[in-house]
Amino acid sequence: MVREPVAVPAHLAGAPPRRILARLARTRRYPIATLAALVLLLIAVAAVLAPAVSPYDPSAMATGPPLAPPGATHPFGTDRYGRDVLSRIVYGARISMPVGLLAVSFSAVLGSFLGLATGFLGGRVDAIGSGAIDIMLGFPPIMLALLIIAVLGVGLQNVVIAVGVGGIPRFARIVRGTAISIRENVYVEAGRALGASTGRLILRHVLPNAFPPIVVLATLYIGSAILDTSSLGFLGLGVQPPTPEWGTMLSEGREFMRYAPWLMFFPGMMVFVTVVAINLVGDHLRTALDPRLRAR
Amino acid sequence: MLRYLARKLLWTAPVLFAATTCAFLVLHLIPGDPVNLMLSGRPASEKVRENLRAKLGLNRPLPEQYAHFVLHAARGDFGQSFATGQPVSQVIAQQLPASLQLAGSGFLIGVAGGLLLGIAAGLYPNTVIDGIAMFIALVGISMPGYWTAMLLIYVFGLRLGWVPIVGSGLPVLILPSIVFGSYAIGNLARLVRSSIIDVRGEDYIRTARAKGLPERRVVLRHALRNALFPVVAMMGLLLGLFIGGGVITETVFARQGVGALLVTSILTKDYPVVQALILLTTAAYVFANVLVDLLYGVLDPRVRYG
Repeated sequence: MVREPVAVPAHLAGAPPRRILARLARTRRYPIATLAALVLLLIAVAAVLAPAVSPYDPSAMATGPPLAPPGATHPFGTDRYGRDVLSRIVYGARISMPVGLLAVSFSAVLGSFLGLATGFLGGRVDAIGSGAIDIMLGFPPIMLALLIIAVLGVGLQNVVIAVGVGGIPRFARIVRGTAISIRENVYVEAGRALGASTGRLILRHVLPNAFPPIVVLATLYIGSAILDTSSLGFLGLGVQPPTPEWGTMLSEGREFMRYAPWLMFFPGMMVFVTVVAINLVGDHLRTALDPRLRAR
Repeated sequence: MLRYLARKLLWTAPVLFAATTCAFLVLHLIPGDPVNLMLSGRPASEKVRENLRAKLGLNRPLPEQYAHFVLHAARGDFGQSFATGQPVSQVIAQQLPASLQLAGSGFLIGVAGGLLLGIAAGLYPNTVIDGIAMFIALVGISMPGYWTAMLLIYVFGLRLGWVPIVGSGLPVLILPSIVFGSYAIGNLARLVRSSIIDVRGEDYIRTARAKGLPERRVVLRHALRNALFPVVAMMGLLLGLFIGGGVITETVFARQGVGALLVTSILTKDYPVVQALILLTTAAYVFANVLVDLLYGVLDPRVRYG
């Protein structure tokens, strides 16, 4: 389930933040990425303002006839309890977006920590840490997630952990490579000569320079995290009904597919649109930060 | 070559150890008493419970239980399913053929589709062909597999009635194979495309052109051949995607299979089956990766001696 973004080359590691911003500012030349960013913004705003913008209470039953097709009063139709599908989808963004972000933060923070420690410290720490990374990579990503669900059980929190764990070794591997290349820089040596502690060196010199690859990887991973979250929801192993999570909604709508296809169409559409938008922004970010790719 | 093989096999040991330990610990880390799960809520006297505990070996010290688990697992004995009382190995063996059938046909579709799109895009970068191929790849990467499946079922199964969605035989396999394959098409296409573009910038391509080889020969003999090496190296990644794809595809099409079995076992808390499937899937994945590495080493001697 985990989609593997292509590694960010290490030479990006040193790009100063201002130049990155300048590159991103050229968005006017990239209408598709800009459009994708706007779509994401729209979904995010809808999620934040859900109580104001959704036409009905997402859990209110009998807001209309059950299984009503899309129409004027219910643009996306109603489900078997007569709940408004549009409202549930709007509220679903409040689940999918934060869960995706949290899961990626989980993998990015733990993975970066592991990557910085192994890459910068080297020696025995690297030997043990890299071994751990390799072992984690040895598991099929979905098995790690299912293993965690099997032990911790279903539910919102556990989904975040389950989806996040698979990303840890992938972040760690990339950050480790970057940290190794940064370690050799003169400014790190200078910092050490001035008596900076290892912790300070990592925080002040290595981490800021390792940021661009982390950001790109994180962006691309949010998409796969949202996909994974919804897949777990669909399997019944994620967020449980009646919470309006998109994958869970789809699974609820499955049995009515023949008579009420809108129940499966709109939640899936939302996952698809969100993930496409994230991938487009992520791809653009990667290209913008990598002159090699830009030249193509 | 032997040293390379030895190194690769050595790598499997810690992963298999970790997988075994994880699988073993599942039964011990779950909240509550596994005996309650075996009884599934039925009331039982303390004597019955004690017997069950002894049968599961839970009354023995942890290291002994672990040794017992490993020794029996090595012989393919994972105990009995909580749900049916059947031996776990038998339960899994029943589901395996359906999964292999899906995996085989889906793999063909996924690899053929991914190669086709990737080669088309890589040979004509920044053209309409590239645009269309990469658009399909993006859609493939971003579509939730279960949604693709349901759209296909709805359109081709229910509305048009072109393909059966239940029953047996080859036609039923069509839609699941497409969905299964779709898990890898997008990633594979992107990979192949960038690999071809990289290779086309190499010196030996210029040399081939300079010595007057016809373009078709340059592309087929020099560019494609070398471009596909890194793709072989990434096969392990595709396997990971396929395993995820299998779980989803089997569930959404309500097919028999190991993936669907895993989901049901987790939901019904049938932990012996969960343990066995985690261990077996990871082992299969690990050894498949070793095979991929070996193949890569055979194709590209630089890897072997590097």
